[in-house]
Amino acid sequence: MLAQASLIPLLVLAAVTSGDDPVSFGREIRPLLADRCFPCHGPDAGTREANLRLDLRASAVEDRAGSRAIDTRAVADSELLIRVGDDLDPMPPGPDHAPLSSAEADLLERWISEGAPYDKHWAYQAPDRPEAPGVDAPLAPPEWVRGDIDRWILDGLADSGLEPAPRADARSLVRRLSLDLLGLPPTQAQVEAFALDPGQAALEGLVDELLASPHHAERLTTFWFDLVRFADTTGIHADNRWNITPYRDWVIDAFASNMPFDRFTVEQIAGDLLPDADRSQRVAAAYNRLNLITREGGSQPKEFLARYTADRVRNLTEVWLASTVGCAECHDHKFDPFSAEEFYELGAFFADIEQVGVYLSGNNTFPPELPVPSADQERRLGELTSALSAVEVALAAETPELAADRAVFIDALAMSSWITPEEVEVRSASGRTFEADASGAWRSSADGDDKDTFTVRFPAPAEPLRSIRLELLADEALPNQGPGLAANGNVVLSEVSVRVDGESVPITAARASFEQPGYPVAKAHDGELGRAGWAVMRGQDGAPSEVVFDLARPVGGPGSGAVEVELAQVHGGRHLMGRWRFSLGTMEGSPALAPDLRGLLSLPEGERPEAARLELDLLHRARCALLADERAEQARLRAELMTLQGQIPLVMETRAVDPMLTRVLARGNWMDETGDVVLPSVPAAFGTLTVEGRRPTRLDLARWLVDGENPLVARVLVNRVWRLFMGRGIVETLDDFGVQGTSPTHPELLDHLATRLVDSGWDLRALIRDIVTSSAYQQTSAIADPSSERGQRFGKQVRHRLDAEFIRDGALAASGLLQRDVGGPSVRPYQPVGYWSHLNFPRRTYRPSEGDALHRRALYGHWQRQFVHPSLAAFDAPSRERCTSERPRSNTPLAALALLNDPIFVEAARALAQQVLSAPDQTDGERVEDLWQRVLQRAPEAAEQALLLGLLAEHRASFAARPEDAAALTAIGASPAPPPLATDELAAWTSVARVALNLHEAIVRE
Amino acid sequence: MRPLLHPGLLNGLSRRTFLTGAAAGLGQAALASLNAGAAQDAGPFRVPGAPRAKRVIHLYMAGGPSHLETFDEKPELAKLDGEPMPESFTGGQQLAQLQGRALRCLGPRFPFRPFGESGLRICEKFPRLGSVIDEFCILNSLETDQINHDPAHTLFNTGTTLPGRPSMGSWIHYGLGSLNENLPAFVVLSSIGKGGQSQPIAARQWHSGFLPSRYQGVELRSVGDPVLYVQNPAGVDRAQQGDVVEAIARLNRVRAAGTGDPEAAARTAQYELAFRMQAAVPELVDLAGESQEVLDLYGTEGRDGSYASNCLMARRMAERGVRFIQVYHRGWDHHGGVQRSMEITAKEVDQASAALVTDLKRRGLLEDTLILFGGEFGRTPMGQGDGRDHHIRGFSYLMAGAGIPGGRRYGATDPLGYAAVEDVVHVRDLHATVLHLLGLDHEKLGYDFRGLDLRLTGVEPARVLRDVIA
Repeated sequence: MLAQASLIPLLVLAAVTSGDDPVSFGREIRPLLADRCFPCHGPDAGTREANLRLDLRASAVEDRAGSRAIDTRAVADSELLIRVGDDLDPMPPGPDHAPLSSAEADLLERWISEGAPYDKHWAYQAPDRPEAPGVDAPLAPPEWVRGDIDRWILDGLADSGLEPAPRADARSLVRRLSLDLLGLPPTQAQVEAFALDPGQAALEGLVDELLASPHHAERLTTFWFDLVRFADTTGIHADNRWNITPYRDWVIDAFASNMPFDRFTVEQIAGDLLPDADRSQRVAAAYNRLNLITREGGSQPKEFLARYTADRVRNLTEVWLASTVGCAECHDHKFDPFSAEEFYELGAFFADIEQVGVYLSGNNTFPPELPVPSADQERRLGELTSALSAVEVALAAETPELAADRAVFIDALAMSSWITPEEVEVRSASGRTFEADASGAWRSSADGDDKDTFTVRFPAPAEPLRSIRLELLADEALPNQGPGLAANGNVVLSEVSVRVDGESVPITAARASFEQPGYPVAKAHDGELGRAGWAVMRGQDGAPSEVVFDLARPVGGPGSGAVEVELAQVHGGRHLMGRWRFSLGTMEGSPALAPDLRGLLSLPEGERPEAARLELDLLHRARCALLADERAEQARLRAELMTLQGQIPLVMETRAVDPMLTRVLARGNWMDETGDVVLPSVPAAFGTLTVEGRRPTRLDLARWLVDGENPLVARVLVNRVWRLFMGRGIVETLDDFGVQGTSPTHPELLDHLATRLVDSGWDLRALIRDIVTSSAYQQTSAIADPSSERGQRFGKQVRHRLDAEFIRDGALAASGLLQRDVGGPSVRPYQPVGYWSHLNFPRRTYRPSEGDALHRRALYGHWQRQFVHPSLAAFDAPSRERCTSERPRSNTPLAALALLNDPIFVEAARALAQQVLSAPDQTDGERVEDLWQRVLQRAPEAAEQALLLGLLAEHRASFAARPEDAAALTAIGASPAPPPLATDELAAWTSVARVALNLHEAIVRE
Repeated sequence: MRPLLHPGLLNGLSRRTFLTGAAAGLGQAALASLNAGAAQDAGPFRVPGAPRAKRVIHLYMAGGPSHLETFDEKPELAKLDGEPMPESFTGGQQLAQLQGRALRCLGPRFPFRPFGESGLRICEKFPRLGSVIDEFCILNSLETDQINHDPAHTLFNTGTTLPGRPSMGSWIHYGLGSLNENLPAFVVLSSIGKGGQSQPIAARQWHSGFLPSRYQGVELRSVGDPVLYVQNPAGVDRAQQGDVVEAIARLNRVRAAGTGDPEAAARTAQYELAFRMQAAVPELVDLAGESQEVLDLYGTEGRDGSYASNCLMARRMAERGVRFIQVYHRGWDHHGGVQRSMEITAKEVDQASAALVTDLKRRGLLEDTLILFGGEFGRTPMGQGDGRDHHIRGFSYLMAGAGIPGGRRYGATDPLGYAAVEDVVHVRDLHATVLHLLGLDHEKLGYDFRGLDLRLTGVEPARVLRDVIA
């Protein structure tokens, strides 16, 4: 807020040029015209009045029936000046538009009398390669100038007669570097070492150490994620989780290896289109899938496809070009030279992305998706696959022993008899009726409930009964030819139970001729009545299947009573048997055999059709004792493979398909199909992109961005990075380099850094190193200078509150709880109960992670766009629904409540207390000092010490009187409290540690 | 280039300075309670004259209530029940789940009857609202641009569907400041109904967008902490929490004396405010002081997260100076079985909504409280089976309080209840009117963001509904 207010003098500064200098079109005139005139006389054809454009010189000076808006020969006759000065009917027309002040009108007049020169807006001109200014100004000692950055900063300060601020003290500097580069506080040892040798060489050594840390890559990843709107969820309506985390690992790796920014750009926008794209490049291209998407029923795919395209155009132009091209979705831009057509031409680059408008796939599946195994997983995958093929070779091998055994097996099969019981009675729990046909098969009627239980009842047969067989048969009359009543012809047999004379007979084993994946026959006799069961869908119509259930003991024989078999089918959706046959087996271990195969058993081997021969061979190999070891090995390998495949992370993939048609949508209206069809192209203001004889692609777009000719990309990046370390941009409006944005305070420095970045091969780390080793960076922020000029001239450093993530990370680091692994899937920190109660489809119950995962850096926390973790949100973490260039830094009671009371901070305080109590034989004063060092890397002042010891004494007393409260406080959090500590002592120190973690100083970078 | 100075921010600064000064010790909590921040009688956004309302209670019927079974009586539609919907009404229009299906009229499921002295006719399923209908102006001619829940809510709350824009409550807090710093100025409550799908609601709906975060809406929850993290950690009592906050405050002051960092004092003030909020919020949600008569009036037994309990909570917040209170009831998405669903949902909201009006009136609060009642869109006159699909071309809203003459009706839909045809009210017109009643000029209440002067009512013309509020 203060930073905003301090802008006023900048504008004053810009508006006042000395009488001798020519008026600057870019700094003085264009902003004035843009604000007052362009809305009706600018780039937007839709609102243009009198066919006059003041943004184009040709139109402004054109002869219009004897008068000109701008007349450089007869200045006073310029219609612009006449209309602006017309007291009765002034331009711009009132009452909604502010008239020009007389100073502004004078400026216009001077500019016209100087010939009304127009030039291209600064940001659309190629950067200069300016010479760094000399340093003869006696404002700072010569050694202050560490490089070109310092030359320009000093030069700018000299213009204002200001000296640079003194260098920050050693401790502030190390804290600043560590917080800026890692997002983590330094250690006491780092501070002490630097304090002993605070020279430039030592600083550069420290910087190099920090830049090489993987935590530096994590810190930059947080920066990048705000821009590209990285999150774990879709953002619209049900806000479902999606698969994205491999992309996070890619970004971390890219920063860790200092990937050149041009490659970093190309791989994200078009990694999939690179020749022979490897997996890593395809993961990078997941950038294109970060737009908000919907699964809301009733949404029109066309509307959302249009939104997805617009979202991508908006993000790309904001992140790389700091341009508000997004305004041109509905109309030509009011101030900047972008037409609506150009907006849609940019959109056409993304028309090749495989996607759907409304995702009706599973809750968390948004195809296409790419499996991304880790190196270990990849290796194990290879091992399992080759081991499996080896065992499959063994299982398929033919030997004389096998052939002989197979013949015996088939004979036994042919001999086994299946009998159809007599006097059968079939009932349905919901009143369905059954009709038998000549083959002994039953047809179930279509009426009745969606869930049902069939009961088959018959007198026990004379011969002891060992198994029960069900055949599910095809039928033309059934949906999809059956065998079930469900729309797709499927059946789910939930549970089978058998009773003889009312006494239950367990089922010991079951075999099926086919099992649908996920619906094994074991589910049909596991004693659980639910949606699970045995199902038979296999992508072909009406395929018959057979299942055999073995009974625990033979049933029947003389004197037995009635047998009752209950066939529960409670999956729902009419997954019920439509045509089926029921029979009884007398042979132990009868295999399940597809019904059409059974008739072929009695034929001599040579006369069986090839298919039947193969099937019987497989049946035999699946059962024969000779291959038992190989089968067990195969099952084990398959199980491991399935588990492994389930663990391999997926990432939403960008896959190119034939581009969909892109039209200009008048006023952004997706239902209007009359707009012109456009092809991919870039806005003329940014330059040109030429390819020969084919449609330009995303890859062309990405390469065009970073070809070194684009006037914006390097400047925009340099400006963002500069702001990370210097507190404000050289162009203050980080995301608007258009005519409504602010002008650079140091245009030459900006151009120097931009061209140097390109010349260095887009070496981001070198840029960062240049900035943070400069004397300008090392200035103190503790300088009392109320003028904002010093701030604009970068004549001091800035203090600011840390970003949300780093407040949490810092507390965990100070307490020793921080889990420092890099990369991996998202984790779930503690979160208040019910925080997700507004979500639905599906309803969600939040379950926090366990163990170390609770103490990972906030970067790895699950990012729910619609409900960002509340204590991050309290410190201004954005929803990441759109590009965020600059988070607000608010200061609210809700943030105070989060830092005081969120269990993660209470746990951190308790762990911190444990740390300071773990050193034996220390005085309270020494422990306070230890605590202060861990959190603030300095010793406490005497007044601080006294205050803390007072608090400690009071809370020792109050917790000693309330041991159960002490126990409750110290039990917060999943990390264990070591038993030897007295809980009242630990609780009292937890209070002291809470104070430390909540200090302003603890969450501020100075 | 235009000045990036936001008048509201300057006001924020002065208010903050005040608090810092006033709250030098924790014992002075009382000083900063009611009316601490009511320093903005004049400001850059104000319309001339005294504002009619100080606060708004938006009873927000999320999911999209059918106007045809609530406040818009359509006998012609009843006659066409089951008949094809005349194409002259629907040709070329966007539909949601009915897109591409055969369209048949579904007659209103319930009779309407006259209520009150005004004799205004509303659906008989809302007898309690009927009993206070003379307080209400019924707007029958609303229209919106968005046909699905998430975008339609975003439009209704922020004036656009682009993410990152402030919601109405945030704009109002920004424009007017707070009446009681010990409570959030913009509070959101919600309940889940049993009569329809409870469509999800995004926190975007009460987000402050590009406005500073302190203008964000705060949820008052019915489970766990009523405000997130408002309770002390387990085992810490109020005195101990006070010790901790006081130590933080004193240490910040010691340090600031050395560094001269003005933000340290601001931070300290927020801690002290937070500590006061830790007392004010439990007091707010403690219904022990409410009489049985009041509980019965609303039809609630206590703080249970029901709509009725939330309405009572809304009154308590109105009394305590909360500026914008938005009470969501998620139960109006009646795609199927609109008759059965409406019986359930009407019952869930009828009594408590009416009780709120009655209760505010007898406490003298209705005259400067604006009540809005309605959802993000209406429902089709065409049936979707025995339910109704989303509908954006015509729906109804209720307004009461703030001196709005009641017992009247404004605007109308066509004879089948399809399109608003008379005195059409776009959502942004409603926004303009709400702001106007609060003394804010919707064309002035703006904020510079990325070079644009952005407003709740956007760039399309919006009108204050002078005939409604006159």
